[in-house]
Amino acid sequence: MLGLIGIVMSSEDPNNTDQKTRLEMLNDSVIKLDSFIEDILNYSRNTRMGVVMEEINFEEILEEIRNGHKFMEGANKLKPLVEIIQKEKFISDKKRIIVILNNIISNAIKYRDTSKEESFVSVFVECDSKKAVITIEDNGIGIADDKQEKVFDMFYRATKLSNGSGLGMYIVKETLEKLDGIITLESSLNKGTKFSIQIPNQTN
Amino acid sequence: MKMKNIVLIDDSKMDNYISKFIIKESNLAENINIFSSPIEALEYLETLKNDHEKFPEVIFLDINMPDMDGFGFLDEYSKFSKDIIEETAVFMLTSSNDPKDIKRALEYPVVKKYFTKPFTIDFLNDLM
Repeated sequence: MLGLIGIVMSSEDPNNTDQKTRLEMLNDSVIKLDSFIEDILNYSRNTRMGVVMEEINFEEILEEIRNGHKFMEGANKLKPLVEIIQKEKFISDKKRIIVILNNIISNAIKYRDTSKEESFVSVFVECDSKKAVITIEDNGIGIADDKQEKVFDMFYRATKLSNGSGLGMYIVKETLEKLDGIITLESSLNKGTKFSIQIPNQTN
Repeated sequence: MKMKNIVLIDDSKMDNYISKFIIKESNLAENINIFSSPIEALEYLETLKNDHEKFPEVIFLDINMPDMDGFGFLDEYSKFSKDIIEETAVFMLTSSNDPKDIKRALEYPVVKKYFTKPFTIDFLNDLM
């Protein structure tokens, strides 16, 4: 669909601004629809599919996530900071971990605070024989106190800047439950948000 | 019958574009005010609450919106003085066709009709 819209756009009369606006909106809706389908697929995969244990290389996972965000609007305006301390072999479900981290990091991109001179998202991973502790922090728009509890609710959207499905953080919570993990969040409005995740190491 | 003022409350830019286009094409109203957030719409209506001339004749209202949803708006809006809201009709315009939403919306005395998106010219024929 995006390809066809692209062709129509490029063969349109450039002076026809009405038509251009409509095609751009059509383009945006297709992108939105696509991410909605991805959310639903992630949700359904998590509920239906068994947990697959394999060795996790966090470096690789974060690289993969970053590549996926290359073409996302605003991704290049955000400074990514990554630190990984991985001394022990870490075993868990790779696909699920990707879904979790991907959702949180793409929120950091979407809800960056454009009024700040520099935006960042930092990912700190430390894992030992028992668990991995992942801390993801950003200096984005933050979440008001009274909304923090609700962000994990299905279909809840905390900000009017959201044009998503309201499923992302719900999927994060549900997916983590499958891994016996936990998530906590600290946030203050206009300052930023910090998620702390713990996932048990399934080495045994 | 041409109306003076219409307010449209919806967080979807595209839906607002379509609704505005159709309202304009059909020549339904002189002015269309669009709000992407119910909170901003309430602030605007608050400033007009004693102005029967400028207070909108019709409010089109979406349900699923971030921050405050359509029902949150209706709760607040219903607190406006009776004589001003009695002159205004609220029409739900939403993608939700959930019978629970429909029932809940129509329970508000201010809500006169419930339309599901997309906005079409037939809705307006229905209104006139």
